[in-house]
Amino acid sequence: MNSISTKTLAMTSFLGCAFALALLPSQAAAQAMSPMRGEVKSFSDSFALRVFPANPYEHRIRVEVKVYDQNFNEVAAMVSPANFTLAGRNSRPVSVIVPFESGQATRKVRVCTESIPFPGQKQTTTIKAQICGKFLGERVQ
Amino acid sequence: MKKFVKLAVVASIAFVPAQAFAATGNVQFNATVTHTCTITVNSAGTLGVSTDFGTLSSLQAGGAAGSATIAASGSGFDVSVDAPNLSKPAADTTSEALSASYITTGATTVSGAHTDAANDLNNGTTNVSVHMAAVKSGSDVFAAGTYTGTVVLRCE
Repeated sequence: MNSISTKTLAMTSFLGCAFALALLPSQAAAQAMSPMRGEVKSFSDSFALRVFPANPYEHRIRVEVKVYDQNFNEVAAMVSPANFTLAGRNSRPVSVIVPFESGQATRKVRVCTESIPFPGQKQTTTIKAQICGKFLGERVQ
Repeated sequence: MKKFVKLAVVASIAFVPAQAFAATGNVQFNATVTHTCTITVNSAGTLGVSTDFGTLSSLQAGGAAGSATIAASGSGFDVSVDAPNLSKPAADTTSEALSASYITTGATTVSGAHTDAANDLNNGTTNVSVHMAAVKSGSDVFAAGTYTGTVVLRCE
């Protein structure tokens, strides 16, 4: 009985330590983007946006820009650059070209700036910051 | 000669340039303000393990919520969380139910879960506590090893 209690205690301690180690705080990451709203008119089969992901803090962050539809399904848009490192207190322009869906005169998309943890922070639990701007593209016919 | 000098002096006084006519011009300054949202992750969360090893949660003993700050420079932004991801050791082959939730203080006081619609954010700084849980069903337990959870906190 006593040996079972000791075993259980040891197991609990082991798992507790494993989880605690795994979930150490990660490096703080901040995320910002502008603009976060916009309407674009286009004469072609796609429309272009330019957003400025920003890093308002002192340390560099790794950033990924993705485009989603209204249901958060990823859209096959051209994002340039899609992944980059942003120095502290810096922002940079990112160009996004979104195709219209066939036969549709408008398309609503979310352009999202997401933080990517640096390698080495893999074993931590993270809150992934995601800033999404909402944009409407209108095809002029 | 004296008279000429006098006249010259009078003339020079008379024709001293009058005060310059005042002219005004407008110097314009233009600015465009675009409101934005900034998320700062202050600290990651910790998942505590239940005594029966069936639940990993930030609300369990030994667990802690993750902390973030959202600064919204205008109104019209929303906050939400996605269903979390859990990376687990190979030894853990059974599935678990994952959930995420949050509660805010500061400029905005709301709470929500990954299954809820986004909540409106007020202009200002909002502090967000993010929780995560993973629950095995029935008598399943979490295997020993390293578990890594990720919750997406969104401002849009």
